[in-house]
Amino acid sequence: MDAARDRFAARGCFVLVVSQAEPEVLSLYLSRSNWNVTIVCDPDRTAYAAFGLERTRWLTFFKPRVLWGYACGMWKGYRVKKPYVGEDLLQLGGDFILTRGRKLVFAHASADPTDRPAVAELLAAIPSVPPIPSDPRSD
Amino acid sequence: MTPGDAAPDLTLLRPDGGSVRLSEFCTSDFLLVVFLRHLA
Repeated sequence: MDAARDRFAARGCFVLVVSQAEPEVLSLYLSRSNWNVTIVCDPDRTAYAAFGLERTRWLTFFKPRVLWGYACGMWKGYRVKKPYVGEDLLQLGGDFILTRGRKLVFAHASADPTDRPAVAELLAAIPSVPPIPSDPRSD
Repeated sequence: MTPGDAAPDLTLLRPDGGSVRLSEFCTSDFLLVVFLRHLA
């Protein structure tokens, strides 16, 4: 994660991670892990909904593509664990790149639990020239 | 939300429970927001 964060920073892109955990759960988690990116939480999932991130269904976990995704993850060392208090396993994630003025330049709402863009795809989506901020009064 | 749309200035929570607006993280040219499914 640190290496990826540095690659984004080199492109002028700050990385913010949003979790659906409660603040106290996130705080305990961070005290026992080694994350070096900024993590905030959205326990009522208002931000998830605002970005159009949906809940999936249990049957989705049995789709061949999803099973294959988990198998590949486990091959790389990922281990399935129980969710923490307040986390909805059916809630899907997503990845979004915004400009300084909060305009979206990239949006990927996961279609299933294993559907995430690669770091290379996210880096490629960052415009090489930052946009000139527009006057918010003209919107 | 699709490219070209403006993201609302949502309120998020820090691990200490304090609130923070999304715009407070828009200090670089770009901001990558990663929504996790779960921490574990």
